[in-house]
Amino acid sequence: MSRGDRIDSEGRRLATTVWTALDRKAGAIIELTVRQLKNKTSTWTVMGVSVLLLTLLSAFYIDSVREGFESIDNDGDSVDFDGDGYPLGQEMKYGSSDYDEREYPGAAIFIPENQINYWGVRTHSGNYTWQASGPSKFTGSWENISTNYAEYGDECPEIIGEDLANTPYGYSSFACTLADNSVYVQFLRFDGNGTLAVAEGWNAEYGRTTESYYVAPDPPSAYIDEDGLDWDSENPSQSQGFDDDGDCTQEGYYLPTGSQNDDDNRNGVACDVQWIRGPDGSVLQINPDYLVDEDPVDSELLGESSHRSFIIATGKIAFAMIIGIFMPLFLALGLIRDESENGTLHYLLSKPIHRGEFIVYRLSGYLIFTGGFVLAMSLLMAAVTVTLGPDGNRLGDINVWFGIGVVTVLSLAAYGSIFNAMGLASPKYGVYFALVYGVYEFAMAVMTLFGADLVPIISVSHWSLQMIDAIVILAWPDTIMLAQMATAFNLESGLAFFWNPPVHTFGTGSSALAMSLSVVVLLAFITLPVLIGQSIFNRREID
Amino acid sequence: MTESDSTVALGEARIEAAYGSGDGDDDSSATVARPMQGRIFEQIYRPWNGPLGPRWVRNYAIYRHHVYGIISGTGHRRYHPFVRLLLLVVILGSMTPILMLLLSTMVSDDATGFLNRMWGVNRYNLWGNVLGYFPRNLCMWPLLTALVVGGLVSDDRRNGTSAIYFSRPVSRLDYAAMKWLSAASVLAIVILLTYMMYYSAAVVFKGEGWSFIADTIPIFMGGLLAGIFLVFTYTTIGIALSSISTSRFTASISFLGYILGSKLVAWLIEIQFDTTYVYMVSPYDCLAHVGQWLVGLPYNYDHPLALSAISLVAINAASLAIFASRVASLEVTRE
Amino acid sequence: MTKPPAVSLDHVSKWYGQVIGINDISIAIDGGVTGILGMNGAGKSTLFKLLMGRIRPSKGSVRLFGTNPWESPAPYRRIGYVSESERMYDWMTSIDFVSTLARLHGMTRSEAEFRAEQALSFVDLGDVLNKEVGKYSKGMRQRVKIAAALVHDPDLLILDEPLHGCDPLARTSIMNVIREIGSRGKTVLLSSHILEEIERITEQIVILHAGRLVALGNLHAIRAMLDKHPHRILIHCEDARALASSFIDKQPVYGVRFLDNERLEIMTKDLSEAHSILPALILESGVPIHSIENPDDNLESLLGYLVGDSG
Repeated sequence: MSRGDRIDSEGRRLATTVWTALDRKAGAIIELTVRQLKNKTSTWTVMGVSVLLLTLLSAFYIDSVREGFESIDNDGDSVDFDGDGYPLGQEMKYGSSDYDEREYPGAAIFIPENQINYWGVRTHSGNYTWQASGPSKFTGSWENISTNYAEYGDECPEIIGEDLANTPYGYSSFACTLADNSVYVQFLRFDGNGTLAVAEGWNAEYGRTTESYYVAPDPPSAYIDEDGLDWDSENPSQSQGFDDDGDCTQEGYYLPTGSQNDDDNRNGVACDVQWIRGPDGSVLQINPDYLVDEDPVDSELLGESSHRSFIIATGKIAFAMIIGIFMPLFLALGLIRDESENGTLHYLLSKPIHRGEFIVYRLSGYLIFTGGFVLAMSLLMAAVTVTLGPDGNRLGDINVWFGIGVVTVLSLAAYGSIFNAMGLASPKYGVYFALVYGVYEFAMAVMTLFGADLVPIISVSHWSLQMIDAIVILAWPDTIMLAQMATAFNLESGLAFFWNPPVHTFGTGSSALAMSLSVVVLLAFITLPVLIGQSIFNRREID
Repeated sequence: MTESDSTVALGEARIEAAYGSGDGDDDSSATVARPMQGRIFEQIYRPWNGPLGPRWVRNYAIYRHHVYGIISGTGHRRYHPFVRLLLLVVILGSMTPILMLLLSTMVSDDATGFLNRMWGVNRYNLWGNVLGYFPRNLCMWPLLTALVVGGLVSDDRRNGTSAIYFSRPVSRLDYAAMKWLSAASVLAIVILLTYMMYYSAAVVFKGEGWSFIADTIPIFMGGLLAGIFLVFTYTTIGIALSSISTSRFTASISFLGYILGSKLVAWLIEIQFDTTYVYMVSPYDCLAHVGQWLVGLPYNYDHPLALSAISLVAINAASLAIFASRVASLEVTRE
Repeated sequence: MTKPPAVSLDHVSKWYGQVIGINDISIAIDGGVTGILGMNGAGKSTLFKLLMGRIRPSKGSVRLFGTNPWESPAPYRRIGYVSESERMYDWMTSIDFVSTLARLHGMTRSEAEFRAEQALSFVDLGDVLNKEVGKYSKGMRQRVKIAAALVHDPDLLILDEPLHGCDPLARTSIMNVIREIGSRGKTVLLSSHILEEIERITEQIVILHAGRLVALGNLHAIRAMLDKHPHRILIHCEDARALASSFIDKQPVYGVRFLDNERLEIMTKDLSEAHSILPALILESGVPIHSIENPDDNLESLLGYLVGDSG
């Protein structure tokens, strides 16, 4: 070695310092790599496709911003299922069924008083509205039957006369006249003054029918956004919310059922929303009682979370997954392989550069080129969303986009060094391994997107997606709240789908820890393959 | 001594090159000129006038050359050992349902109920055997297609080996058709054969009668048709990408990127912007949509089936057009 | 401490599995132009790969300026290498190509460009600097490669088959370049399988055959040693038999053979002696002569003798 160092003293002009000479060599290889990449058609194809992809997503985004957010009937009570002109919400208030067109607010309603049970006394007399739920015989004056059926007035088949339970008509609504002038009824409702006898093992109810009166139908729009979020951000108390439309408390209901469970979240307060906050005041969880704040005003709430969801989805899918995995496959696979295949490697290796350094410079060249592109694209996307996003402080957007860019650069580096190490480890099989590995990474990313936290742990994509999750919460601390709101109040923003709280926090829930851990893991994914590749390349005999 | 005495022929050579104008069957002899003497040889190009084998025999030879390499490496187009290994893995992987069926006939009753529901013949399973996303269309079929089809045309472009065909009585149509067919048959062996085996295994293991077969055969045929569409579409897209690349890996990666990427982006847009129309650019989703119709499943997509069908036809037509134009302009030399 | 020689090999062997590429070679070369001669497969490329640190010797040690090239790339600061591979970065201009490679020696961009221009002018490409290498002819490409190897003013220049595939014109200009470098006191190693090519450049040769070192030293000296071995002289004349009679009893000639009526082959053990008496004898016989050839004066027959002798 000492001899090698002496070379300088033998007439060769010393470089200013070792470092400047190193920089120059590094600069030369990096520049050469960048120029080579620029000379490949596939580079420009890949970049073109990436730009096209981001343009497509931006176009959808711009379109959705232009249209604004339609009010959505989150609880579905504006629908008129039975077509009687009254929406579900109004029918619920009046206690009528929205699945029976004959029942509507103001229509005569049967109010049961008592019943002939499945066992015990089989008959009852009086002037009632009767509801026969099984084979029965009615003797007395028959006033009206509130259901239509064909056979009324006809004579019954003889078989019924013998035994009431011999019903040949199954469970359909039916009535007929028996030989003794009494009436056989099953599964129907009628008014009558007399006695009803019910067959063994069946039952019947009797009660009153209300007078019918006119109720003006509400427009469906009255049941959209009718129960907004009532939430005081200044008040740290856990109990929030107000049942604006009264469907939980059932105040003002014509026929309150009274039996509804109005404390689903079991915090001891009926019809409220439990907001659980962390020590710093950030909302961690939202548990609403059933039918409280269930139909919030979408335009107020969706804007921000849809906007974030778009950024996160684009960052994860377009940047980290598609660009992050396929760009290295196209561009990093050939960094050293192409040189040795083309027979130009010896130009570079017959220079006073260590082979290990050579790999690092080569990867740096690739990374500067692709990383520059990715960062530029992410900042461009930031410009789009900052300009078009909902009003307010949009600094967070820039941070998140920059974070996404950095994450993508890290995965570009990791894949670059992994693919290179594979190529160096096995010139014959390396590319095939890299292809299979690329598909593996893609599959792991899909699994991570769908919430798997253990299976994909040995993959670059898992950690880069988690890093995006962590960056999001660091830049926008209230994302947990928005995601919780989306889940709790049925807001279809996609946020709950594309964003999960970081999982690998060792139970602390700290996203800063998750991010640092992701960075460490990604750096390991970058450096380990480089080291392995270097040691293989140093030992490799190049024919 | 005697050699030098003879004035004309010294040794014989038969020069058979890809560019050779002769047919190779005439006795060609090289004459070594004596020192200090010159001689000019008259060049005679004799077209082949003898009988050619029928066209299908020649085409079959091309086809065979591209398929047999899976089994034997000598004399046929070489399949990289890794590709062969992957073929094996994918075939075995796609036969797991058969194993589970076998298991369900062997273990006790209550377990059988579960296994049978999970793996037995029904619309979902028949559809899923060909068109299921995970793992078949996420990990298996695209990777397989990418590796089998990737180098089919690009290798010829890179090495100039297409000249071997075009200097013989093989038309470009024959060349293209046989390339396509050989790739399609390799995929068909893996995808369709395992699908058919699955159905047959279900019938045989369970000892199902004619009524079962009569009931399920339309669904089975629907799934088979969907599988044929899948093989056709994947082969066509793959070969089109192969014909515009000079490296087999570029073609493979492009194929994977297109199939996997388009689905994921369409999915993003569905979730985020509530429309399924973008699925029309994803070949997998067009196939899945048409497949759901063929098998009789409810659709996962909001857009009309006709659009998926049209898009499928358009993707195939565009790919075939690219392939055809690239083959038509394929240089007879190395590119 | 004495200055280590530019190239030194000490009992170097290299085998690839069962195949031996280089078999126990020991040489030291310092200064001047040395031609490495050998048939295809003789081990020239293996030798150069060993020197360039691309492969590791199976046995023995390789030193460039006293440093093991497999372990350290340091000696490449003083070495220029022209490989036999014809592939280059075709999309680069020659000035780009040469200056990029120069920067790998740690030169600044401007210094590299200045040196590259100089080097290209030296190989006569000064007026086509800005043309892409892909558009060059084969001889020009070869000269670009030489320029790239010269750009950092190396003390040792290694050229692998630099004349291979070039037309005679290019060949001559490349030969001139190599001679010029040699005359500047640099050490130059070049390989070839054509004796005549080497002969026009240098007299100092190393002959390899089947991985073994067969001969080393001055070409003429080697030849003279070989003169003591049987040689053939082929004479083309009007009347071979008449001519033969005048040789048959002369001292260095020990055999005569008729190929046909006009061609006569003379066997001798001392070529120079035979050539010195030949003109007088021919004049004496009065037979008209068309030509006199030394069919053994090529590498194949040279090797034939050398190997036959050593084996």
